[in-house]
Amino acid sequence: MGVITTSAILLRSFNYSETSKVLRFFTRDHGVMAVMAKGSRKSHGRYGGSIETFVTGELTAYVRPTRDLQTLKDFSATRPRRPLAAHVLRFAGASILAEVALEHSGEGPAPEIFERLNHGLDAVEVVDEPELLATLLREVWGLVADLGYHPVLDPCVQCGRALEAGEMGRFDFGGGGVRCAQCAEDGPGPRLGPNARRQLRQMLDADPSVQVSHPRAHLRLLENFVTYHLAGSRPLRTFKFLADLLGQDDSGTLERM
Amino acid sequence: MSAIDRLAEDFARLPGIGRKTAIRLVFHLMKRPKEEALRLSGSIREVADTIRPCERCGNFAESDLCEICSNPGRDTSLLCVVEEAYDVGAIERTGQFRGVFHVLGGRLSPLDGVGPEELSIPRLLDRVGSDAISEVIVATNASVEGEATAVYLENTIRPLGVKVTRLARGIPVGSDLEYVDGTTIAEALAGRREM
Ligand SMILES: [Zn+2]
Ligand SMILES: [Zn+2]
Repeated sequence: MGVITTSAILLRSFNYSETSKVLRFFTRDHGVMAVMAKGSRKSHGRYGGSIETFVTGELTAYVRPTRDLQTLKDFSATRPRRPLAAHVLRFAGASILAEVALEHSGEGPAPEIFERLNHGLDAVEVVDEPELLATLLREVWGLVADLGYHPVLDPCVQCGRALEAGEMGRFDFGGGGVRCAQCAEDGPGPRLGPNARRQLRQMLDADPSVQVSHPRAHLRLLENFVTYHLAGSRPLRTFKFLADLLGQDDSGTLERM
Repeated sequence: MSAIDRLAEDFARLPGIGRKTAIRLVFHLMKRPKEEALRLSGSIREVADTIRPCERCGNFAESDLCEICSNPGRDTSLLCVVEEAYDVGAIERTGQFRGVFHVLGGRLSPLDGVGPEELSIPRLLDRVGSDAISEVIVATNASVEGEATAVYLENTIRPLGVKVTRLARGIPVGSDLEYVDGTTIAEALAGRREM
């Protein structure tokens, strides 16, 4: 049995027994890691207030490589994220980032994904409220791309022809990206106008100046893409939570953009 | 599997009881007069048969309403919202609260698929809208999820014209109410602040 220390973000925890919790971290050096935290449920427990969802810190754990569940030695917070709890939309956005990151399956070092997630949680915590949804979309698309699922926006995923500037396409989830106007005729997936395509490209490039004109329609596109590619068609719970908070009054599509 | 092993296994499923303790409990019961074991089994059966959620507040109850909801001496204008029914006990033990309760059945947790509809929040809003309630005290746990639930409740209840308060700081961050001592809860209750 070895001892490892790595930067880590606590994404999920559930009560295991009267006194213990199982914690799921995204770690810089070992990807997603499940850790048993003994004695952590009682107040003034050994780990004080650092065992909190979305906290970034330094994790030390006893590790047996053959096991799925490791044992916590210590976790000390370097970046508490209490303010995420004070705003339900930010809390929902952080939960989406967490659920997407938990789909990562590699066990080796994942510093880019770790930094992206860490940055995303920071951004969702501090961004001005009117920019929240656009920021969340940008951060989640960035995370999805870092996980290896970068959608193809050009050329057409069906015939390989470059799309023209004003061309109406279609987002083909199975094909992993955009179809041109001809191939879009009888193809599956939602229609995608040239503006929506440009905004999507800006989000994938992490362009901070991106203006998202129909954030809820973009959110549905992102949800469908993540569900199809990362989650094996199992619906993600956090997207539904956010959509319910936002209400159903937005019928915008990405077609006329 | 022998009867002894079966009982030991059942005990070992209880919180805080390991295999060794489970076996000690079984041998203890076998050494004592038979009536003691039968009384224990009768008590367990009685609880399993009679305890159900209170129709009004969700607390443990032996009939349609729990002891608190059916007590005419309680102040029904003061409503304390907790995550789980065992949190009612934690607050009752302080002896400082004369109001009534509402049990949510958990806390908002997007990753677990728990939204407002999965909790008894619609029922809470009904109560706040129809009963004469002057203050809602949100006593969810001091975790990120408990805090977000409190903020959500404040956002939904305040527009109904009802004062919303939160237990004062002092409940250690991240800890469940269940594990906080009575004095600390009593102080947090006395020092509650408007959200
Ligand atoms: Zn084409
Ligand atoms: Zn009741």
